[in-house]
Amino acid sequence: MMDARYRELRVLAIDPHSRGFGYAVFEGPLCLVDWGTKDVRQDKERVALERIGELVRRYLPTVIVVEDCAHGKSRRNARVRQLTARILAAARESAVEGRAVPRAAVYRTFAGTGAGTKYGIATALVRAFPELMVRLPPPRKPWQTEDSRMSIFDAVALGLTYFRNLRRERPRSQDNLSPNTVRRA
Amino acid sequence: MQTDKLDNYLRTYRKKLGLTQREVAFLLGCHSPAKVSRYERSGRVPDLKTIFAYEAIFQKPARELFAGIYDRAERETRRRVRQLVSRLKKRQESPDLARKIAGLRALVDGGDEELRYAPITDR
Repeated sequence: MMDARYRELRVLAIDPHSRGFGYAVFEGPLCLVDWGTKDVRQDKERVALERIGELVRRYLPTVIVVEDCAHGKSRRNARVRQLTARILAAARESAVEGRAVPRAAVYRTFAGTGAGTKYGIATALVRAFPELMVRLPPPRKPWQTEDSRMSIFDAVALGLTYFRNLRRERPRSQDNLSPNTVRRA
Repeated sequence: MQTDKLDNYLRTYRKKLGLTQREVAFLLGCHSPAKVSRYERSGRVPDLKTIFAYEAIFQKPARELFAGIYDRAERETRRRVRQLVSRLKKRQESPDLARKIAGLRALVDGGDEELRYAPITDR
């Protein structure tokens, strides 16, 4: 059973990719407040951070969740790794808790649904949140690049993985939840 | 850790229905989707007629659509109710005053729950 304190925790999950980023805002694991993609074409890092700043000001999240790109098995490119690190640093400066979730943890979260691929996870998410159905792209062909809409599903998966890990953790004292902390899930 | 509600959840409910801002603007009778965007970003508070139109579109009560504004209004009202009770207590006691104070206390006795209205009883 999840600690009551976390039930309405507002979480902003961000999944940067080569052409922008996908985001998802949760209030607890069952309430998806907002989701979408932001296209960033020029001066990518600066513009992406500005757009993320706008989201933070609008939703005032308690936690920002990103993929753990520093993880040994992460296959993210250097720019995305750098952007992820800067998102966590910006979170720290804004007194928002930053969390980095490894990709493997995301797959473990969805292992029970039988989803072994990103697309499998996306379809599992559509079952949980039917409102995401309209954003689900068709399955990617081997010669195609990934549809940017997939980053919405990656962000939602990151958010849900964060909540799942919270449930598994022992209840912590309020002190441990203080901002300016960056944790690896 | 309890998080304060957002001022409004208009964007959430619009996206859940799969509607665009332009479509919602049409349903609300606005000329421009920019107005819908301002409502969603809390840049502008809709008038009462628009709030009821939103209720009709999303089939949710206004207190859910504007949860943050409702929560703040509720907290402020509770605070004023307590102030009024303490003022009334200083007056000379009478059955009418006791009834009034009991009614006001019933409003705030819900603790953290929602504001409760005491049932109107026959005098």
